[in-house]
Amino acid sequence: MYSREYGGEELQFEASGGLMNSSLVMQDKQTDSYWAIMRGESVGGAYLGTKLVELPTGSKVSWQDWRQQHPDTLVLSIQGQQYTRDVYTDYWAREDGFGGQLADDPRLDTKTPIYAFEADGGRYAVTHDRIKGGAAFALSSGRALFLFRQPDAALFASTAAFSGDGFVNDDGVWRHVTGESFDPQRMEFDGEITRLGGFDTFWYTWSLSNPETKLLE
Amino acid sequence: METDSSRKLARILVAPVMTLAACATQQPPGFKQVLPRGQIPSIDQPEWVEAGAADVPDEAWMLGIVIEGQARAFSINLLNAYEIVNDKIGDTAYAAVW
Repeated sequence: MYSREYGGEELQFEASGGLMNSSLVMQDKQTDSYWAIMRGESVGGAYLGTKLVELPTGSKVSWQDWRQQHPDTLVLSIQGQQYTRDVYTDYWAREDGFGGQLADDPRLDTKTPIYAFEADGGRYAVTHDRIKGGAAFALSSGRALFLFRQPDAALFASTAAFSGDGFVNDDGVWRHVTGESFDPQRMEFDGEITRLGGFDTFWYTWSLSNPETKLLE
Repeated sequence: METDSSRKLARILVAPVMTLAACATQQPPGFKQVLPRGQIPSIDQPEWVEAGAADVPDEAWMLGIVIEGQARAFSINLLNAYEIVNDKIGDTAYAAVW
């Protein structure tokens, strides 16, 4: 989920029809600048170097759960359809990426599911397996992170990611150091803890675009 | 004479195209064009239905957002087909991308 406001302009994005490092590249209709999703910035044109502004408001959930949480939700409808079947079932199951693409970086297997993000000028990734049930990390900048996935989370489910001063596991309950506790069902803290934007994706997709990634162990 | 006119006409017709090509934003290094631009159309004026009218299986994966207190849901399978939805809620112009 990205802002469309840059340099005082309201941009409209569309698919460029091309890829960089096997990842989607958008173009804006106003300046034709290229925007690489996995680098989080414009990689060509008038907006070269401008960071995409991520709006960390989105989550991937089942329709049943979303409707229960937000009964007043509106649903996108395209040509009268609100849903279509998944045409990528073969892709999800395969060990290689689009077009047979493999990861260059051998630290993880090509299709290992990860959560990846940029923070304080660094790029980071952690495997989904590592953060099932929650895990706290401290970056070299001093920033503390709390990353959580349900132990039985499906591949598509979003990681809940938070940034703060410190997170501790207090007899099975995750808390921020200022006392707010984490509710694993709602995947939220009972207070204002900053959410972190990022990607749930496969290792090859992220690492091909971000070879400098630090892997959180 | 007729040939000269034809050539002149051809130059006039071709000139704007060449100028446009020269101005076109250069593709960044490492960019591979897979499909022509525009073949995957973005959705710029999204249409919405209320939850009760949505024909979506319970277990379907949705991208859900709340902006300025308003909730929107996008079928991930639909987004796979269209890639990008340009929308605005209140003062917040956003692009939903999968």
